[in-house]
Amino acid sequence: MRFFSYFSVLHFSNCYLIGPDGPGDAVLIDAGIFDEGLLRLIEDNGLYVRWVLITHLHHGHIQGLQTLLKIYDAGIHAFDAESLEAPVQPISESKPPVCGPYSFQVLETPGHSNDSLCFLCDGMLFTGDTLSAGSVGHTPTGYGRALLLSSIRKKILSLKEDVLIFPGHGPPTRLAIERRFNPYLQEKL
Amino acid sequence: MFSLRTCSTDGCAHWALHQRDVCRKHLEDPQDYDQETAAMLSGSEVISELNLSSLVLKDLDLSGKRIERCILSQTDLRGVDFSGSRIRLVYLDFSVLVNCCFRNVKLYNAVFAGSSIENCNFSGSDILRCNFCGIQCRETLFNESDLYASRFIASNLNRVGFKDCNLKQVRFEHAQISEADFSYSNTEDAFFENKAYKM
Repeated sequence: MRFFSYFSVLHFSNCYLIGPDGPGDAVLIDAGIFDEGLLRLIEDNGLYVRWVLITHLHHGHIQGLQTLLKIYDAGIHAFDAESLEAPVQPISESKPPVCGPYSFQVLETPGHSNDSLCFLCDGMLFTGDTLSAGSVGHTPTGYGRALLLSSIRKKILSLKEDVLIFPGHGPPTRLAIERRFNPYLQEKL
Repeated sequence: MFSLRTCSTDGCAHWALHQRDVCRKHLEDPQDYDQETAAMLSGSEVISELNLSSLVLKDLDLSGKRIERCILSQTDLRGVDFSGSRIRLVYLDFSVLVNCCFRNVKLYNAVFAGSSIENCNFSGSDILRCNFCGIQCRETLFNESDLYASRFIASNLNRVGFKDCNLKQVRFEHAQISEADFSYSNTEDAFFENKAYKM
């Protein structure tokens, strides 16, 4: 299994690509902007994007979908299947995506948005805008903040300390780091 | 991809080390392992996809290497020279780094969070989107470096040089900063206040 991260300067957002050791079908987590750099990363490694997992439907994480679908016959998986123009297969904790040999556990983590999901695969957690290095996702209301922190505590902080975290924005981190140093997780609900 | 296998010891949830079936805690010969690994690292141009957690290295020349997708968490590195290296997606979290040289390195997506960094030199480097959250850092230089989108949130920085650096999108919220030199750097493009950041 190979793993790549790609950074889109336009929205400062990350997307991640998981594929086989050789050429073959790959999973793309978020499609921030589908530009030449991302296309080259996929093609130069002999990969074909067969599945796309969306952490949430904010612009910076889905803007590249229409372009991607012109190039690849990919299945789009997201929590909210109604809000996109493209056909979307709804996923949830009880209905995880089927992505060939790749197994993803879905964590529902509302707060930053109602449809926020995190994906756990092989010791790596893809958190979208729910949690990033030293920070948490923006929330417009106090209720949203409480919901977000509750989601993080219940769903993420209960995972193993060794879990590597790959957020939708910013550098990678690890669960043990966030438990200890993330100022927002020190807040009392 | 990270090569993550669980330690073969019953009930142990830690990851096994490179070329071993057990984690550091259950290693019978940790010093031999450190020596063997140091020799392997010295002789490799490209170091990738290794779990070398809790490794102890002293006075080793790793300059000019390409280091990718490695776990070097909780390592103890003293007098290690990484100058001119390309380091990408490497976890050096909760480590001890003393008298290490990172001059003219290209660091991308590296994680130093929770580490103790003392008397190290990162000058003249590209340190892009790296995680320094929670570091205890003193007597260390980042001068003339591009620190684009790196994070020093909740860190403790004492006598640290950030002279003539690019601080675009660099985050220092909740950091304790004393006797740091930010002269000639674009501090207006960094985040220092203890408030939420809109993503």
